[in-house]
Amino acid sequence: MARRIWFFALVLLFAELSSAAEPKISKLSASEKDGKISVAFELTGAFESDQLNQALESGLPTGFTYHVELERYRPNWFDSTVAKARIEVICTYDSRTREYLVNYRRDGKLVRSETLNDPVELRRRMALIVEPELFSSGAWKPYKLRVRVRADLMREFLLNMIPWDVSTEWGETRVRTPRSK
Amino acid sequence: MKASTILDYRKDPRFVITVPLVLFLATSLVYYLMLRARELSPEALTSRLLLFALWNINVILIIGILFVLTRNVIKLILERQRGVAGSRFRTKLVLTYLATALVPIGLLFFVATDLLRVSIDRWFNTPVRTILTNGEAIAEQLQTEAIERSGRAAAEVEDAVEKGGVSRVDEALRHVRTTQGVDVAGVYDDGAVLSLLADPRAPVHQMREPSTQFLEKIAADGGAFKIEVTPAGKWIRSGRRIDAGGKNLVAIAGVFLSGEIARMVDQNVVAHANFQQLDAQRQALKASQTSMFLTVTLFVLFGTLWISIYVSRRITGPVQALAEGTRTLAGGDYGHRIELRGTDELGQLIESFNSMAEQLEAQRDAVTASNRETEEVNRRLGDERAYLSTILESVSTGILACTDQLELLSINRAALRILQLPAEPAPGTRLDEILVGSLLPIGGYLRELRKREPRPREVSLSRGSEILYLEISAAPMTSADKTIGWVVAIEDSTQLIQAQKLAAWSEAARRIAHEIKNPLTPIRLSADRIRKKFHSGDEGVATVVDEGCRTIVNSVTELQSMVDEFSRFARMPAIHLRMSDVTAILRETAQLYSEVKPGVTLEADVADDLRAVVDPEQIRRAIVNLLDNAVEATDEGVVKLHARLRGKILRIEVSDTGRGVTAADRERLFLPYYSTKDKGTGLGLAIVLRIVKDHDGRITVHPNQPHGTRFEIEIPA
Repeated sequence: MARRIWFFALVLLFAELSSAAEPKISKLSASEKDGKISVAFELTGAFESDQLNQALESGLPTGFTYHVELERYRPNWFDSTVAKARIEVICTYDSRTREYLVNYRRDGKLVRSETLNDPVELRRRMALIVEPELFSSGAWKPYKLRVRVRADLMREFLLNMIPWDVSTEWGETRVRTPRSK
Repeated sequence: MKASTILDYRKDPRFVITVPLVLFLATSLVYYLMLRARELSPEALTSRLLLFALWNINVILIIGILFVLTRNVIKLILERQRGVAGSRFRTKLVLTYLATALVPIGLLFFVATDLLRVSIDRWFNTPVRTILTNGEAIAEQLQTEAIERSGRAAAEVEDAVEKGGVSRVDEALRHVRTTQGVDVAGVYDDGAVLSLLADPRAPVHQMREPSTQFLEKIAADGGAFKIEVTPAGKWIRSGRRIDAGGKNLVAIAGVFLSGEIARMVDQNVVAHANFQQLDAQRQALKASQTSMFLTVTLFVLFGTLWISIYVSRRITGPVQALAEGTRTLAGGDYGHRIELRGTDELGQLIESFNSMAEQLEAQRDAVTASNRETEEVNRRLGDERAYLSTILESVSTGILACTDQLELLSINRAALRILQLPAEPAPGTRLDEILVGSLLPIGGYLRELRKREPRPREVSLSRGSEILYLEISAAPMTSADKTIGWVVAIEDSTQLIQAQKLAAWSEAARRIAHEIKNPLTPIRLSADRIRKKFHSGDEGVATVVDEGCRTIVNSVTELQSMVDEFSRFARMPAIHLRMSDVTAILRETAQLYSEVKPGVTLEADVADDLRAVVDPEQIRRAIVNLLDNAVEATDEGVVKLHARLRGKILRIEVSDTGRGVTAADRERLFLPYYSTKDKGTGLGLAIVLRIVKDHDGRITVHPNQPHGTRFEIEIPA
């Protein structure tokens, strides 16, 4: 009996530690309105890494790449990707002016830039993504759609040599439509 | 492209040289990049592109190394399984090269990369971090103090305006200029300057107007600061939103950090930021450096592998060619040559091999030619053997061959017939076992062959009531001056002897009759005369009787003498051979005739120490007969006795200067009862011939110069 308790305790501890340590996509929502699909989500746990914070404060261009995929949802069958978007949020800190320059790119194109002084606000802006009208759902309207998101965080090195991108797990959600409300 | 062409390119020196050269250049390039890495920016060093490129190069190199290695290992395994000559040696050579290259290179790589990582870690663990952090903190503190001061000034203006209204703007600005020591202070109304107060010493003209974004941020957040870098220095401005009667007023106060101070502040801040960047990219830096080092290592390893395989092929190629050549040569292909050339010891070995093969080929050709000649000779010998065999089988003379140990080699049909052997004995049969009984004398003759010079001999065999007369002669078979056997010829001369005997007896009877007739005539005449005288009664009967009886007695005496001589000839004793002093015999005999006849001089020229196996009495008798004849034939002159030993032949000459004999007489001289003398029995020379024959010798007669006769006797010593 005591052994069983220990086992469950260890499992819970491991699950807690792993869930606390690992960045993940949360608060993912997707909605369709007037043929446009808006996506919002938040990256949590990304700034727990000292390495990331150090890189951010050192002035290195630091950021995340979010991969957003719109899929046709078919239960008991293979899903098919109907649209993709890549959102890059890159921050560069200017230590002389104490300003954080944040660039937002979508599919390689710069969509907006902003300058921030507050590190807390900066982290919130980098982690919270709200993209109205990210996809157009015109042609796929009758389908059941699903959005999934993954974030590439930073690079690690296998055997101190091989570059290895650390990514979150995919976060998924159904696209809400006015009919489903 | 043909397969051979594809394979041959690897033997092309240009290709072999080009590959290591390219590797060397690539290694040099990577090494140059590593040297330049210190000058490269951290972004460049840790860029994804560089790492990606390095990693791909490394992967390609690893695949290349594995491909070359696997390919050659498989080739070596297959060659070893097929038993290709030199494959084991090549395997050992490649493994040795690889071990000697791989171990130090691997060790060097791991040690060097570990040292590199430790060194990189040490960069960030030195007091430099403290110095930079402190410098940055001081600089930040200076800026923070300026931000706070300007912020307090802006807050004071905000507070004064909010309490006293817009009319107190100028007063408030002057107050904060004095109390907070700011270099500029002003109030903006909807982005436009409402009032501005500045220190005349400050470079206000370089200060830009507050940006819309800045003003919006102040309006939105209630307060904000802005640091602006200008050529003269750095402006640090803080702003506060003024809530005054619905107006969009903003109070902004600024502190100017002069150029030198700003530069030092920035230097500290930037240096610390760079340090932090490097620290943040420590793993990437380690990865890039390790990858570069790995690239160089892999290049070196690839080059070493390539060269080791090439060198092992260069070394084992001649060895392989030699092994295959030796195998081919052992298989009998003497025309095989190794085409490889070289100036080293292996090249000399190949030259020696080719030279050896050439000599072997020449010898083989010579042996082949010799074999052909031998075959031809053997064929001729076979023909000759068949010819000889035919002759031997057809001749009436018995021929047998035996070894020196008297083991039979061959025997012809005539010998079997003469010896009356029931069947042909098997080769190797000892002759002692064959020549038994009545054939013992032949066995005795053969045994004597091993002791003395072979001489023809007449042997008579009693076979029942018959007497068989055989003439045996032997000739040695020699090899390398050594007698290895004998060829014995057996001539059945029974009929010849019998015919000769018959002829001799006829001649003897005729001569005896003639000789007897001579004394018989005086006897008959004397007897007739006595009878007539007696019947006539004449006086003088007594005288006639006396004379007639004397004549009869003399004739009878003569007859008696003749009969005695015949008896002696008939009773010739058997010879007894022994080692004798021939010199003494001859000199003593010559002494007897020294003054036997007036006018005849005997000269004896006998060598000293003449010793031979003879019967001394018989020899003396023969010499006496010859000297007797010589003295008899010489009225006045010289009789010479000459004796020498020529090798193993005793040679005796008796010559005279007498009347000589005619050629017709010389042929019959040795016949019994033939004589050229008035008073002679004709048995003297017959006795001499008999004695010489008994000694296995021969006697010849020649005319002497200028006149006379010369007898030569040759007897084996």
